[in-house]
Amino acid sequence: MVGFKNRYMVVEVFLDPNKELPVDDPVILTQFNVSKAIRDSILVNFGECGLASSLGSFQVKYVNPITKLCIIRASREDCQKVWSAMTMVRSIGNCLVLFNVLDLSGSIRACKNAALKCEEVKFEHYKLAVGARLSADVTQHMENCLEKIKILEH
Amino acid sequence: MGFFDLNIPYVESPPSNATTHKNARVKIVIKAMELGYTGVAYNRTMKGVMSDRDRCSIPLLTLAALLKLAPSLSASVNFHRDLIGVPRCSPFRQYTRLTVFADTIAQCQVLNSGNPVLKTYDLVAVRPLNQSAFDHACEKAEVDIISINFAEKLPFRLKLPMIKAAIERGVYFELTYSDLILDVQLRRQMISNAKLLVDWTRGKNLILSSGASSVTELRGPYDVANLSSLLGISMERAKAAVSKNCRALISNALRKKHFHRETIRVEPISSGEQFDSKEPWSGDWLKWDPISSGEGDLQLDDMAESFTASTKVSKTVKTINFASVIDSIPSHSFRVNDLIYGTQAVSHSRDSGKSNLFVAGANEKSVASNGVSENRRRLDILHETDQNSLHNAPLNNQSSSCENNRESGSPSAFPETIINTEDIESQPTIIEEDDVAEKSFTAKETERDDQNTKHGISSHAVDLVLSKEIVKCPALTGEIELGAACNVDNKLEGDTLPDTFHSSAHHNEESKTAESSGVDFDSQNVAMGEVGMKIDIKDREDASVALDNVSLTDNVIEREHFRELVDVVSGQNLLQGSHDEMDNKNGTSFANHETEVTMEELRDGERLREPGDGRLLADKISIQESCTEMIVKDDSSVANHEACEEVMVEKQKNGVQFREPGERLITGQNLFLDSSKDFSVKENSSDANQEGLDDAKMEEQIHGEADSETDRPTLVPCVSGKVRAKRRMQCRALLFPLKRMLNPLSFKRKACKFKHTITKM
Repeated sequence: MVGFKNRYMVVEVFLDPNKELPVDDPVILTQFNVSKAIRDSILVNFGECGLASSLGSFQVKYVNPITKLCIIRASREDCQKVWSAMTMVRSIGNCLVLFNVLDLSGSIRACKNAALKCEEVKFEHYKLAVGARLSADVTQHMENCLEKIKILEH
Repeated sequence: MGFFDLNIPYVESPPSNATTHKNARVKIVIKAMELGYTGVAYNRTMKGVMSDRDRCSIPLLTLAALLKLAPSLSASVNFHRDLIGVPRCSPFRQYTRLTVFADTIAQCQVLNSGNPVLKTYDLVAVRPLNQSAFDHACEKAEVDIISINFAEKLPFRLKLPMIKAAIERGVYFELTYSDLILDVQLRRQMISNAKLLVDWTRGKNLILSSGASSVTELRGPYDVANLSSLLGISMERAKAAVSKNCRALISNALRKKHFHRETIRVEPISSGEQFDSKEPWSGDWLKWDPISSGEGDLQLDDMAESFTASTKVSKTVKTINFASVIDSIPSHSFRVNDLIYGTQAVSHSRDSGKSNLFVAGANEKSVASNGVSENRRRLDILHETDQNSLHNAPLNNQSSSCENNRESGSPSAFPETIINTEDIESQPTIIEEDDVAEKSFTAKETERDDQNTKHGISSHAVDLVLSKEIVKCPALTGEIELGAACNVDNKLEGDTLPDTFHSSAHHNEESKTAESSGVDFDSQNVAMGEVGMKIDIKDREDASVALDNVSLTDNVIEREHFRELVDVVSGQNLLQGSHDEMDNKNGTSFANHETEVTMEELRDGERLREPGDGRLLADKISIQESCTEMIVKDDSSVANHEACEEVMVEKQKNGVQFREPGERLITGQNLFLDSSKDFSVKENSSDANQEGLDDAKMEEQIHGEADSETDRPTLVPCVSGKVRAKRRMQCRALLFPLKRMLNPLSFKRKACKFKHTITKM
């Protein structure tokens, strides 16, 4: 039996909530960005040991810079810690951010389904917000991201 | 279940900064809406001596202002609400709050209920700055919230007896989480200070709020709950602190504010108005923020429309804009429809009166706040008629009308039953009040009958549409309800369930629709039929069983409240599945049993198996009860109404004899009915007594059918609940050994009929 359990969170990031909408992205979300921000937050709030114990399973599995959706994995024991630390993140780089967890699941499959659904809706929002400036690149990028979700594995 | 953030600081800004402050506030509110909150409170602080200048002057935000900054707000809000589980159409509420910094006891003493300045705010909070102020605030001050600034070193000590005293009085303690986010030092202070309070209250009477001066400090409801687990609150309590506790607090506060001596609500009724069951007593839903100009709107419709219009949006309308389909349906029904159409997965536990999935949902809020108000007693469920023109199951308003149910009319009458799901949340106080309300409503019922017939006819079409639409959303409780009603009607008529809508097997139209809609309709019919029937039980002699059932159900429903209704509704779902298999008798009895089962389930407050049926169940219960009654009574055909009644009565009496699980259900049902001041039940029992053996046979027959047919899976979960209910019911049954003596007149009449009908069988 698998004794090692993980939790997968689907998280959306609000960039620069103070600015008027819609503005071009002040910072591009990448796996590294997000991961660093959360790790710093864990270090500040839970210390070295807290960081060390959560680091084992902590990973940002997927980031979509267009829809600002992320999938983050944490071990089951540290999930709450990581989640709290993530909530307390104030900024990524210079940009103020706001993390909002949309879904929490125990298996990658459930997480993938939730993420795909959220992606669709968020992409619709994005298209509404962007309006006429929608370019083919963006759509292509979205397709790639969706593919990435589908091949995600634990 | 709604989430509230009850501390959004409002700064009295000098004119120069007015726009920046206002913009900041608008942004915060937009973000709160997006994150899924259903209500906010603007908090104004003041120190020192209170004067008239301190009266509430906080301008509430309008939808137009919000949409200016966030045109695609609607889509985002809906998305998040669906994720969180909040119904899309629940309005976004804005409240005003005042926080008084209290230094001396003299300043504390100002905070009493007679203070006119305080009355202008919805919520009143006190921030004690020293020990004596804190003691006074906990013990005597008439405030809603005690808010302590944990970010600095506490100038006083928290003492357990004080905290206990405050909790007993119903005062809530507030924790603001923005300190946790802002700064490391603040975080440290805050956690160490608040830990003591959290340990002692253990999450009870605790609310979490943001105190966010800017958007960056706001977090989503579940994020906040998780954050507070850092403080030592368990996750469950933390979630309650963001939702349930806030809602209870608001309802209490608004009740104090709007009711005379916290019990009586006086409102003018225009003379021209018909006393409509449609008229929402619950229209005063206390949570329906009267000062909100458009904020208490239907997010789904209003915002979407305004967005597409891309012009100025005037949202001065507080009332609901009904979709065209439900135009003829009163506001309650509109909500139901909204829920039916708009919301997808609203799964709320029954506790969350806010499930808002159904009318009940919306009503729940108001119900909770209404407490004593007589107006709230009514269960207004939109039963828009079933199409049973012949039905004996008129949908009657379920308000207390049990007693004076006039005959809703012959089968040709179509009384409308509108059941307020308001009282869905069953609270003990409400139940008592129901009795009071019942009496007041009986008179109304009589009035309504006339209206009902008129409405019935017109509403049939509407109902048909409604039911059709409901069919589209099988998951929705509304369907279930209607279906149940329809089923009931059918049963009454002795038609097979699949026929639905048949009371006399002549409603091809209805049956067709029912069939097309599938089982759902059936259940709906049943529910509807039952409801209608119950109301008239007393008066009818011939009566369609439906009538009787309805009245019975009315009684029952009122007492039981919505929670059970919701269960019933969910139960209805279960019933629907089995409906198709049964023939008339079996079907009816089966359905009845199922409804009973569901009722049982509900009554015991069990979680609904169906997702998002929390509220609906409550409705269902009422329906169920009526259904069960009907089914019990009407074993075979319409003509056997009396027989059914007898059977039911028999069942009641023979609660112990019943086979499980159906037996239990029936027993519970009967007992339940008995316990309610349901004279019709008594009549039935008296009638039943006369029948003797015949009834017993009938019962067993029914039970047998029910048992065999009942959904095992359906019943299994409710077993425990049923057992509990059964025990309860049995006790109650014993209390009414002489029920039959209560109404000797109808007793006689019914006796004759029963004999007549029994012999037929």
